[in-house]
Amino acid sequence: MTALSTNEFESSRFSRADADLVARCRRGDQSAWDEIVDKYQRLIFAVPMRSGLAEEQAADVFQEVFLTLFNKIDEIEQPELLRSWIVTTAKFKTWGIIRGQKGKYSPAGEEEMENEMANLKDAAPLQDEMLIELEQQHLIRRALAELEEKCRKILSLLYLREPAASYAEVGEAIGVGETSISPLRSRCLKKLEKILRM
Amino acid sequence: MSSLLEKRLDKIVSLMRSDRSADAPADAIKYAKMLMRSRIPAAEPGIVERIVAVLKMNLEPGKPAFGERSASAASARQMLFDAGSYAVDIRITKTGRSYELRGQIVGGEATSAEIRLSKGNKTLQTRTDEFGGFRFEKLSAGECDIAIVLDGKELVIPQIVVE
Repeated sequence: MTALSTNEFESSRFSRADADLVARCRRGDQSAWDEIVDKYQRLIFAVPMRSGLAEEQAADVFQEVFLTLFNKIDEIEQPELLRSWIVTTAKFKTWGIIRGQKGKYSPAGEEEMENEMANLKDAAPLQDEMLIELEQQHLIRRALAELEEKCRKILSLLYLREPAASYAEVGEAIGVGETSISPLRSRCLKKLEKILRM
Repeated sequence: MSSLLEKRLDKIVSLMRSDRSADAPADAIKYAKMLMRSRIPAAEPGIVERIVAVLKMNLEPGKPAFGERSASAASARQMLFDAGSYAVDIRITKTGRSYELRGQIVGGEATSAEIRLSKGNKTLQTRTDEFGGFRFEKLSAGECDIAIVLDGKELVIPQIVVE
């Protein structure tokens, strides 16, 4: 399976954590499996949703990806690349639905699927650039979860909320003056960037 | 601040701003989490493949059963599972204070397949008849898992709710 490159935000610490989770799942550890589901549910669901599938179809893709992961957990050769494996599997499952022949579409292998996707215009929603962006957003969300609460709140209110909060609103939410938000924002962003590099 | 770091921070902000991802539906997450429940640590000798069945249809009592005319209301709860090249039909009927679970394997030769029903710490065993059918009686309400061993495969149906 081709691994997508997200080197800009790649963290060996995240990869090692995934390898550990896979090893624990192989021993039948339910808590490790739950952690994988919680960790990747949003990313997996985002692949078919961003590709334009309806929510119900996206939920089908989501279930099929986890079913495949569960059935192949002992066979994954590079568990540290779990995230790429998951995204690529979601891509293929999504493509199967886009082809509109779910259950009947039986390509000889991934290579055949890749070739077909590369040659058809309507495969555009599944281009690697979009998938890499989704992976990068996933990594940022993981890093954000590791930030202290105040920083997490500031950055979430400013950049993840729609519409974005004003400095005055952020100041009120964390109990500091509006003028303190700009330097705090800058400090929190640098902390986030540091986590992504660790 | 170096321009390289500045660029990287700008990229992070831009990616956060364009992040429109949402949580997957709660029932899909629940389904994914329960998959691990069907993982049995030591595979039986001779089993080369384990297949987790996927629920394809669930009819509550009072609704017409699959393959029946709509005028006939079913008294059993009926579920149809996909398990690789097989399908497994499960019907649960209340019989007095307990429940009866009947099943049938379709889609291939399934005579004398081993059926294990695990409920709590208990495991009940039976074998399919010549039509691929099986039955467990006097079950109490609650969740159970079913494993079907046939032709080098183990078909696993996790978390069936007996009610």
